[in-house]
Amino acid sequence: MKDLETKIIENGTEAEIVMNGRLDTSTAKDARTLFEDVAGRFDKVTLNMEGLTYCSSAGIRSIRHIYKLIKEKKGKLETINVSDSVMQIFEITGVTAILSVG
Amino acid sequence: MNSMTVTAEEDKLDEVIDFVMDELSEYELDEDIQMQLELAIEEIFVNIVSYAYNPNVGDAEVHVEVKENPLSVEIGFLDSGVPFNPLEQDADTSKEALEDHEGGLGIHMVKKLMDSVAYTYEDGKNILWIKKRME
Repeated sequence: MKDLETKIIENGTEAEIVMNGRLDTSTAKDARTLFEDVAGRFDKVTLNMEGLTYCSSAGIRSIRHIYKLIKEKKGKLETINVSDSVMQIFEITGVTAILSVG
Repeated sequence: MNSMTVTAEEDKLDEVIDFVMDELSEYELDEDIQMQLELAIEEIFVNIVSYAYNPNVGDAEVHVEVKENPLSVEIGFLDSGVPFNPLEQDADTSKEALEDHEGGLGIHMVKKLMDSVAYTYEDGKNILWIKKRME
């Protein structure tokens, strides 16, 4: 699958974004728009990456972007269910330092 | 050695990845190695698309060569755009930098994920070779 599918589960001031597929140069643009929308509407956001199989630097930049937006409004961003291969990319790029990754 | 030439445009990325993976299909690559190669190809090709010819458009050549003992793949990327050595830029991945600064991440990933990366400028071409063990 060369696309990224996303689903938002809303619960009051909290939202979980369930991601399936690839976060790459072509899909990161839409992801960024979605992240901006969710960061604007919710205080606590969880990125559920259980189905994320690939993340390039464009994907990393989109994740940093939502991190910055949430931090600016003093909210909370959490990342859960990261696969080993995507975790390796997070470690290489230092993203683990700014996210509470689990 | 096999090669392909494509217009350096973002929507040609899948074609480039498919070409390289077809060349390697007989080796039954480990999923992690396959993902790392795809990442390296994406980062390098997108770099060429973004910087080599901007605002014009030109071609990118991609070469694939498999070596034995140890089994490894070498992938070469050639463009005739402005001379640019991506290896001279590196990303600051400290916590502070990650919050403010966005440049050089892609090539940083390529350096970390590949076994070697080499750049030369010859006959008016940027030439970047990456090498990765497949076993």
